[in-house]
Amino acid sequence: MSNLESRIMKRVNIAVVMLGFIITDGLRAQDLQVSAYVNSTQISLNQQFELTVEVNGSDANRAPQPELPDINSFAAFLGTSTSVSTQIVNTQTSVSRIYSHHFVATQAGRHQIPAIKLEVRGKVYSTNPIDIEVVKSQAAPQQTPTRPAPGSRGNTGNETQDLSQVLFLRAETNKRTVYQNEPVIVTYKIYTAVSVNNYGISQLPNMVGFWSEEFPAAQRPRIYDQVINGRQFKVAEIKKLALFPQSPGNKTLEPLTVECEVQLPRRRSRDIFDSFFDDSFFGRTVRQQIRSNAIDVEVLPLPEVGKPVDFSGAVGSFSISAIVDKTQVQANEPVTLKLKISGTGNIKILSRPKIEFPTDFEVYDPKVSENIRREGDQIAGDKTFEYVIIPRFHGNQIIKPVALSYFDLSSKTYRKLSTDAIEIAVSKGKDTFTAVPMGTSKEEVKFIGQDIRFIQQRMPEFQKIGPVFYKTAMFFGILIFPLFAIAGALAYRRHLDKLSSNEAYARSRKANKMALKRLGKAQSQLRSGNPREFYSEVSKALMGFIGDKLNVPSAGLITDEVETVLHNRGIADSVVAEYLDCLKTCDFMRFAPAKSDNGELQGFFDKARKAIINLDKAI
Amino acid sequence: MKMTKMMGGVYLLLLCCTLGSATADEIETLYMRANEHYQKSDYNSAITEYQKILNLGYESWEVYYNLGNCYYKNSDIAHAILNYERARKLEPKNEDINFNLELANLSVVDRIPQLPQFLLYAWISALASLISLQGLGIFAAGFYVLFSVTLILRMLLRSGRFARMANATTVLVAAGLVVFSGLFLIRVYENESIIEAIVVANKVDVASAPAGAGTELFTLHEGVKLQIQDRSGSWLKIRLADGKLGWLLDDAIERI
Repeated sequence: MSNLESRIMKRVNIAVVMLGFIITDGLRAQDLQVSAYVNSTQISLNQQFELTVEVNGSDANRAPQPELPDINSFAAFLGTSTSVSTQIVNTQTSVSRIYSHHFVATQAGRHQIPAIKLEVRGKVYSTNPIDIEVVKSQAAPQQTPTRPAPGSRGNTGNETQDLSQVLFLRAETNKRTVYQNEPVIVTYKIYTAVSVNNYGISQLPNMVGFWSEEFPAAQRPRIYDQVINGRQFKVAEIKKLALFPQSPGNKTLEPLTVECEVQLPRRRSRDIFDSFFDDSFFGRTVRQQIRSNAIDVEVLPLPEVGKPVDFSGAVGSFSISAIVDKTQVQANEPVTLKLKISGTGNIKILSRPKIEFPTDFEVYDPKVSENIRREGDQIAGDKTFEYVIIPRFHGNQIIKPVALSYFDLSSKTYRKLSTDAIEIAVSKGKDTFTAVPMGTSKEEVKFIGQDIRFIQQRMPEFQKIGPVFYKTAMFFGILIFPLFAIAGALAYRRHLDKLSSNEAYARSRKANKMALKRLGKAQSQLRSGNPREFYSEVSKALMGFIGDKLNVPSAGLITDEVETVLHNRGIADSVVAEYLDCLKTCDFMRFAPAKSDNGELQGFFDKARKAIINLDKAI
Repeated sequence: MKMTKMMGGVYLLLLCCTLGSATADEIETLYMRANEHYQKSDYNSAITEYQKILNLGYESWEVYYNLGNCYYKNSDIAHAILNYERARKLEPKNEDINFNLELANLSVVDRIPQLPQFLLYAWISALASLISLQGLGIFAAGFYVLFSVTLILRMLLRSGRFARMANATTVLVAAGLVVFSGLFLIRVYENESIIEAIVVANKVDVASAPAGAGTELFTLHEGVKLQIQDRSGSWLKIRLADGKLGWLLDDAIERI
């Protein structure tokens, strides 16, 4: 009972699984979501922002890359990085592709990023438009600004003049001439001889044409002393950037604007009220905008000489490694391949190296992760591409070495790296049936868990292995024999036809028979000792034979006529002569009775028979 | 002298007869032993026993079918398919063969879609493969002989009841002869022109030209059925069911 129940349950389970299969199959076409968002809807001018477009769903791999929205009116495009993550749950693959577009805001005001449209298999997916506000200045200094003193307004101009000598911002670079994608380290330093309470960056430089990486700012900027023109300044590094120029040519890095809150030293006042307000605890504070110098950078194109074919823009110094989590697997068991590129340089925008997987492998798009360290004057780190690969077939499989070409900045030459080849021993799966490859149709899934039918046990009829039966002599015999039979039947039929329709033919065919019959009679007369009757019968036989053969009435025939007729038929003289001789003997012996012994008669009989046979042959 | 020769001939004849009956017994015991091995899941021994029958020069679809089962249980899909196909050639419409063959084909890695055939030809070909080649041959030859007999009767019997009967049967038999000999000729043509084989190597690369001169076009795995079209040295020109052509080494495949 329970056994039966469990069997039924199993059936039901299979049915449910199949139903699920059909449903998900039907849903698959709609199983795609496209969304877009920005990292911040309020950004300041010249600040970078990121527009992310996410395509989710099992069909995401087939989806083309969404087109960039046209936002040139307020932002400049810097670059795109793509990442993919793949999840496989119960052979259902879900993929999400993330496109991160980097822009820099170039125009203040309220703007809208239009909807991004994506067409997949004739179906158009669309994201919502995004409203975004670009503001002129960044957030105010962290401390609440002190209200400017009412009386100080008149003097601000003078004081600014003075301040430019004691408070200024400098942008410094480590080099002015770089290769494309070689980082320029830009450091912004505030030089001050007065005390600065606070500062805030009010306008970021426009960095169109650069990929920028900012070094993390210390909680408290490092401050040190430096003497310039005999005057001691306090120097504070407020911002440090690594800029990767994206195209060759002369580039200008626009100035950075910083707003500082400066505390001016106490000074004498004409007014007692003024002095009362000004001479608070710290003296007067003034807000001052300072601008850095612009920087010109010459970006050299990478040399064409010795450029490897597979060079894809990596500049710096790198190393590459590839490891798999296991080298001995069963067929259909997933293997993870980690391809890791580490080093210093433009790691973030490295494209994924091409890997030649054996054709038997099912390969999913890699999960990309990066770990960037911004330390000292270098942007270093590593980027890992994690592939899920499923060997579908047993055998030893080799993943060929993965190559990476890069431009080495220290030696100013191209270098080529490659990993070791990876060998994976794939053994047969335990169960051939669970190993149904992806993409099997529903009909095939029905077979999962079924077994082959049992062997045949009844004793078979064994046949000799030989050439195909239709090439044997017996088969050809069967084909040919009826042809002969038909030919024979046809001849016989024609013979019958001739007999019934042609008297001459019939008589001629009968001649032999008749002659033999008469000769037979003659022989019986011979035995009974009647020589006359004997000769009479032989004569009849001879004459009858001629008559039958030539279709003439034998009764009217005389020997002379026989001779002429036979001559006319062109029969050899000797045969005719023999025949006539026999006839004459008969005529003579019939009418001139003479005693003759049996031996003589028998000799004549033989002679006559021979004459008939010879004539029969001749006619 | 003459006598001894005759005696020798008789002895030889006797020897032949006894040998014949001995092999028949031998084959039957081999077959039974093989089946027992199979039931004890000793597939390798079963394979050797079945193979011995074939080596003695005897075959039957059951032997191929059982061999296919052994290979299947041994997870040797290529040889399983090969033997099921051989069995099917002798017994085209057997349900067991077709069921197991279909099941074995599920384990083949490569999915090769069938090219659509010209419809009328497909129907006729399907009709022709309803009966085994030998069966068709017997039918066609039988109708041929029958037709000859009626033709002869027609010639010899001019009139009367029998003559009229012979006339009627000649027409019927002629129709049967046309149908069966037509189907038989189609099957003979297929049998002679289409040489099919199964990939027995784990994996074989198919190139665009023989003798390693061409580029690698695609890779086939064990169990794939293909047609042999041409030969050049030890390289064979093959055609897949989906119409793809290429060259491969002949040791990678085995003829059905």
